[in-house]
Amino acid sequence: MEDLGRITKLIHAHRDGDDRAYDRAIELLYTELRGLAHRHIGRMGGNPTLQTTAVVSEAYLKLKRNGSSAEDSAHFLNIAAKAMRQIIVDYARSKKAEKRGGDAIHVELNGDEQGLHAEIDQILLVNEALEKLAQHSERLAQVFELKFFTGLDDDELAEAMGTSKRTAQRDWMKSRAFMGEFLAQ
Amino acid sequence: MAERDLDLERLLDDLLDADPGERDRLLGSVETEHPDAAQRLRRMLAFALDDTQGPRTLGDLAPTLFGAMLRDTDGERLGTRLGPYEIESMVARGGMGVVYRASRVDGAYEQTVAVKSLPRLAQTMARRELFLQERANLARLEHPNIARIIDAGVTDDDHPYFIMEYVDGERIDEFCATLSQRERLITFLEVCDALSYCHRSFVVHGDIKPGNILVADGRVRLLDFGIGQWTKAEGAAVSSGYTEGFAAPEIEAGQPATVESDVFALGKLLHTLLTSARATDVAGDLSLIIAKCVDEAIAQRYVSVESVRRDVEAVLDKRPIASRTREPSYVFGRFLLRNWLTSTAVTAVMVSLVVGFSIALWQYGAAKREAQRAQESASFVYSLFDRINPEDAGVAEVSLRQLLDEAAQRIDKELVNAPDVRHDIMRLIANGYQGLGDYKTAIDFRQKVLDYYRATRDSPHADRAKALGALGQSYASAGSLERGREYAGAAIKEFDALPDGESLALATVLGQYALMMTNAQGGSAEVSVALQALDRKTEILRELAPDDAYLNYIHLTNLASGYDETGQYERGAQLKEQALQLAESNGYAMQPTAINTLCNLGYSLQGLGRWAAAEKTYEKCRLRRSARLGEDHPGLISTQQNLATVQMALGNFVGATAMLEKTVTVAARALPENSFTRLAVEVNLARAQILVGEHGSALHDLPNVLTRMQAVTGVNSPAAARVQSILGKAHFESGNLTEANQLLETAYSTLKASSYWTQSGHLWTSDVTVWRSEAAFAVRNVERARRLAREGLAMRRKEKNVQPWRIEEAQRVLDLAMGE
Repeated sequence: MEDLGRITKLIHAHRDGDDRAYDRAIELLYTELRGLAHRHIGRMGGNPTLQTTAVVSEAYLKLKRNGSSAEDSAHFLNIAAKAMRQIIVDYARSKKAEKRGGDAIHVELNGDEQGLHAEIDQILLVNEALEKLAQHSERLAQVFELKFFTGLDDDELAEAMGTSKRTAQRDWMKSRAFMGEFLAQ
Repeated sequence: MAERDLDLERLLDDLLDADPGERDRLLGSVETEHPDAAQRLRRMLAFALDDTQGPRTLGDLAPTLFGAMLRDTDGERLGTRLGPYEIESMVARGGMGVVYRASRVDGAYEQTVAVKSLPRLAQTMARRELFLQERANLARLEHPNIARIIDAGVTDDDHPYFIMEYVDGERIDEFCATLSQRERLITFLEVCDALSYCHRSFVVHGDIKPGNILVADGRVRLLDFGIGQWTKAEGAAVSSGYTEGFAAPEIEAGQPATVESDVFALGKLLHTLLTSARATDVAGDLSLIIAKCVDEAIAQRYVSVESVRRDVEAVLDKRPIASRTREPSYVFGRFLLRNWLTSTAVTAVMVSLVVGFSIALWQYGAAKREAQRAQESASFVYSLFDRINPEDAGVAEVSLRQLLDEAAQRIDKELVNAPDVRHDIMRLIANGYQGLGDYKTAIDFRQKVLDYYRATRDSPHADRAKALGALGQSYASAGSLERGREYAGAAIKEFDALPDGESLALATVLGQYALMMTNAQGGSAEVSVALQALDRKTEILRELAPDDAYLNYIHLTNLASGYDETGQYERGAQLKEQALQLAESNGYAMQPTAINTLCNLGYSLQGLGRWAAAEKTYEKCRLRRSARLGEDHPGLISTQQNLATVQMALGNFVGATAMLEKTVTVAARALPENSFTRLAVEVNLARAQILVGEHGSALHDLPNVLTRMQAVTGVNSPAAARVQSILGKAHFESGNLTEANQLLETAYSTLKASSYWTQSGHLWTSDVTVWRSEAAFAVRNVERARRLAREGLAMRRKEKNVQPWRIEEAQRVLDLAMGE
């Protein structure tokens, strides 16, 4: 990850109060994650869950190996989750627009595509519910974002949130409860 | 206590802490007062306790989508064609699109370009039209500090793209990091120059940020003009995370880009440049300048880039800056006041122009047309300025908004005895507010105007129709599409009921109506209504008297490109012809943009297989280009190539060869030896020479061309194979059968392995097939010759707009093989 150094610098800058640095870090990470994701599909094929996790933990491990502070690592995980969310939501939106734009030409959907469109709606609903949750509790929304979009384990989640593992687990339960409820509405 | 006041999170915590028995008790106690809340808590508890319920990870929820996303990466575009360009490598990738390096492969004058592929536009006719209109604006920009936009279009899969001059440079903030403050300011002034030029050309940038400004060879280049708004097409809320804080608050709120939003970004840029790589605080006059650029209140910002520039120059010269003064420095000098007076009839111009340009219009006094209207309107406005005579000290500075507010206040009390004039002015004021982006106030005024016309004019009446249309526009701008459509629809009805005239106004409303219909994203019925409206608009513009010829001209050419891009070349050609007539009769036929239209018309005609008409058009285009650019300008290369192509189609091989010889000379003077364009022209010349029996010349020149081509595109590239095949043909014509055979077979196997082979109707593949047939026949391999000739003929028949001689030639080769 060539830009890791720059991302670390930006994370520092953000900690020192530069809001723009945060956006720039997300932008860089977005680029990097897309690149990583692209390489992973070649190497591992199949299971996308594995890939999401792999993409983030690969970057995360490198960061740790380079001797970053706990605070920086936490920052990184949060930024990664945001970037991942942005990537997938952007993609879902573009797919949805494509479907809408295709009105003029009637296309028979095969099973796979129907599944795809159902998933697009699901992702967009999750995104909306997450916005709702953020209004209710920023922290719970952050927990959900971290877990859902990057597949962190409980230890990593605790590190990212700067809490104990127990608190992290509890927060994850609660955020799931809220999200389940919002999505059921 | 209402349910929403319950702290669900705390209750949930309590429930999770409790054991099962306690949980029931707790839930029971909630239930007595809040049965609904208890119900919710039960469900939430179930979600919390059972992690197989509800969403857990992205991979679980959307495996197909995620997989599709990973497959669907932008990298796949490498090697593909976008219009005449072939993508070679990726330069950068960001949240807002991908930038590639590409080369023109049809042998025209740009060798290396940058292609910026943008996120998909939700495709609607209206959006496409706007996009193409933008392209016309951008193509007009020529400035040393602006990376030229060469072309733009939409890919087969709906991704809009811009083709730009390739600038191999460094980001401006990185460039500035090593400079002194003084040098940074001087660099910044170059950005001001470019942006100011742009505003004067009525183009707003919309996405000024360090990533869009490169410095190459010490020269600043601004990229991505006007692209900002396209990248914000959908999902603006999410995308705003990428703007790095350069977007003005009104842009964040979804408003279109304006001169002031560019000024805002300019202020942010100045701050970034001054602070990058050192943690200095910007103080003194510079901080005042920045603060004035980035003021939350639009009216408080600098009104133009020029005024920013003046202040920065003042700092450099250690003079006091204008923003030191108390009042906003919107200096409306006498010159401008005079223009304001002659622009009382600015109405038509303003309605038709994109929001935000109106300020530029006023500023640069470009709206002088349609002078004298009602004498009283003029005197009212005059009186308005009387009070703020710029020569009176202390009241010299006034903002456009202040002017409008002043006018709005006074109009209530004044001109009571001249209600028509009064409402005329109210219309003007409304336009001003619309132009400033204050749609709410614009709606207020336009509603009043409509009410007045409804009370005083019998339907149908042009005033009523225009007022309806204007109100509809304001509603649409304010985001109430539904009401916007209602009013626009009513306006069209009213116009239609009129016995005559008002077609320009109707055309405007039709355009707006179409936009609203398509933006509503409704069903296909709405889309077809929108298309009908657009068609009517075109009809009208065609018949229109050339009052506003230039705007109509632009509109026609944009519409024409729209039709071209949907494959309706016939209609595209018609529209271009109309546009050109307009240009001829209004005296700007020699403008670069009109000349371009002429050349494009040739291209459309060529696409339609109307060779003779295309030849005439290209001939004219060539004459005009050479009159403007000189005989030996590289800008002539593409035109002459095209001309040669149609000459060949018409069977005039000798003429084509002469034209290509001329072109090779121009290319040799203007382009470097290994320029792909130059090579392409040389290859085409050799091909033509063989057709007129000058295979000796081809045989002499081609080995060198082949070496250079291999150096540029790779030893086994399809383009190199093309050269080999032509060289093989030249050897064949000269009787060197062994060399011919060797070269043709090498070329064949390369092409066979490339993607060209599977593209139906590619010239290179059919040529090599036909020539291999000839070579086979020469060594009496009749069976093989027949098979290849049949194959080659079939391939040529599949060529799009195949030139007649190509079929004849293939047929001749087949006949010969069959005759044996």
